Amino acid sequence: MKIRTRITFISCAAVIAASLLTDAVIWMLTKRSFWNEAFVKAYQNSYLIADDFSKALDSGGNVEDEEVFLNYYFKTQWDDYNIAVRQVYTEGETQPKEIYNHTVFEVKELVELDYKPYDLLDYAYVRYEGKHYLVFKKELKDQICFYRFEDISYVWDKMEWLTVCMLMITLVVAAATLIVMAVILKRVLRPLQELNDTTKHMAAGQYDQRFQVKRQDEIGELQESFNRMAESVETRTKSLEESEAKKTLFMGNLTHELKTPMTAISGYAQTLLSVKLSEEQQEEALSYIYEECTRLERLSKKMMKLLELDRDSELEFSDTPVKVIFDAAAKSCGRTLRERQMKLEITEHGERFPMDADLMTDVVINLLDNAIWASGKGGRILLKAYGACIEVQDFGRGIPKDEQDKILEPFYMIDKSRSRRKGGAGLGLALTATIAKRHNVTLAIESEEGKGTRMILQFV
Amino acid sequence: MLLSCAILKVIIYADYEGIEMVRNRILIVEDETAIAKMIAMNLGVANYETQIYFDGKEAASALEEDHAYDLALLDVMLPGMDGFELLDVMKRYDIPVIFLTAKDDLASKIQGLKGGAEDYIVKPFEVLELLVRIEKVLKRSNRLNHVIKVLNMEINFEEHTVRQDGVEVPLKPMEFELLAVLAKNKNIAISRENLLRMVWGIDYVGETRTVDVHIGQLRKKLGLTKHIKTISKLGYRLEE
Repeated sequence: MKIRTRITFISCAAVIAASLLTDAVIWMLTKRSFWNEAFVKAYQNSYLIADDFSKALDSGGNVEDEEVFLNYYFKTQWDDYNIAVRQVYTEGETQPKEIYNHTVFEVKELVELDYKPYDLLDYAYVRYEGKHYLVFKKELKDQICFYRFEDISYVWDKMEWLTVCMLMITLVVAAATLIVMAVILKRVLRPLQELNDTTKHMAAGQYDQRFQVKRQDEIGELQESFNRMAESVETRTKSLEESEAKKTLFMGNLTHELKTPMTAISGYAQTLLSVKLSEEQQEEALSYIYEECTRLERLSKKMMKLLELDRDSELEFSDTPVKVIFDAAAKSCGRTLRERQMKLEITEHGERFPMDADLMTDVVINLLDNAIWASGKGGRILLKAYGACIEVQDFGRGIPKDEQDKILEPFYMIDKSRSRRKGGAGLGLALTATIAKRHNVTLAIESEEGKGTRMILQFV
Repeated sequence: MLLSCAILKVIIYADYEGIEMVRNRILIVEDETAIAKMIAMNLGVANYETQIYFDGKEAASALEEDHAYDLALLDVMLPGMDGFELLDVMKRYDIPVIFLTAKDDLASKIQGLKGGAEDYIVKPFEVLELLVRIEKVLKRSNRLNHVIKVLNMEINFEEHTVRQDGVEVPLKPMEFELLAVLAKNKNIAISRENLLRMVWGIDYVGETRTVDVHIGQLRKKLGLTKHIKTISKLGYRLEE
């Protein structure tokens, strides 16, 4: 069952119950008050009549005369609710003798009623043929007993009317409750419905769903919380998707980088196996196979390093003079520098930084390597240390603006053919960036096309 | 009589030299030196003339002067100008194109083939496959030479005839096809399975004896015992 229907019915039932309870209390109180009123009225009436009768009786003569008188008296009253009875003692038993009775009651029944005293009279309650009566009794002289009937059925009529009224009111109130609750709940629960719809959309993958928060109440709060949740889910999903896409791209690039040397190696091997080649050609094929194998080895080494660094293995930093890594890097690049007739100018003032010397040497070598390939033959490269910075500056081609933030991505190459021909796979700068990140060192790139590039490592 | 015979032979030889056909020229645009050289090496052995460019733009500008190519093998990711752009240049000179690339995603394949390339080969590839595909493309575009000259034989694909020193040697159809495959891929060893597939167009294993029988026939009829070599584990090779 829907929550709306349930709440509506529960509240409706509660209203009916409360209304009925109130009805019952009011009914009882009203009945008592009606009863009391009717009783007092009946009593007063009966008393007055009884009193009149008693006075009239006092003025009478002997017993026989009395009876005649009484008959006459009652007849002149034009009131058929009075009964006069004489108690006659015969053989020790009291026998009621009817003097005057124009009612439907038998005197015998009348005598046997259970009378209770009230003030100057005795009374009893009688129900007869759907009507309600009060019987008042007064004993007069000469064993004459006076009975007076008072019809109080009107109390019951009134109560009946009241009951019907109250039940009607209860029904109307219940119906009104039903309608009002349904309308209110529909309005109150509408945001819940919207929430449900939105959640369904989100479950189906539409994470950009949001609420228009207009309310200040709990539901507004819920909507706001929901929006916040949706926001964070969206952000998280997006970042997951991004990292997934990055991974796919990385794998794609890696496969591509693997395929090229594999194609060459397998092609030459097939050629060597199945084609009759001259000795010269055989040598050429073998040397290409060797070269491509070396390239694969370099690639796998760099990949391993990148993976190792990506894992959270602990790095040990020690305070190392930059001179050590500068010298190591210069030595490593010395051959290429000489081949290209380039000059490396090193400036340092005994700076020491906390670092993993081997890794940082790799970083400097990578940066120098990039600088060398960006510069023309006979160019100049500056390797400097100052403050908390290490800087590599060249005066080569520079990096186009739109590629500056991409060059740190794995496998990214500005000039594909040139980089490949010297055996790079576009991992150098990615490695550099990763190592720098693990050192909490920021790598800033300042470059202008045609003028050169400055790569600055900023230690914290 | 002897003299006339000799003269006739000379005449035939002269004639033979005269029909020495122009070799099919193939353009290779591939930025990986190793791969480009490898392809060129194999194509050279298979009797094609090759020209290599490592840069797309260079290739395009060189085409302005010399575009007498029968086929172009293009890499997709090229410096200067990528393979898809180069495809349009090739179309201008009516040169059929085979893409040779490491990109094996469907989108690239569709782009290449819809763009008008004749074939699309994904790296790494088998050398023999490349040769067969080149031959098919050349055949389709009617650029394949109808006559191949190997050793002292002249194989005419149109006439389905083999002349040895100018004298026609009768061969059964399958023997001719086998010789044709071996001659087209001279100096390259071809496995029995591949021969079955290429000559008989069938794929069943274990029937390689058929190949051996036909090779025997060829050796006998054409006196090629020395030249059709059995390469252990690999198959047969017609050596020049």
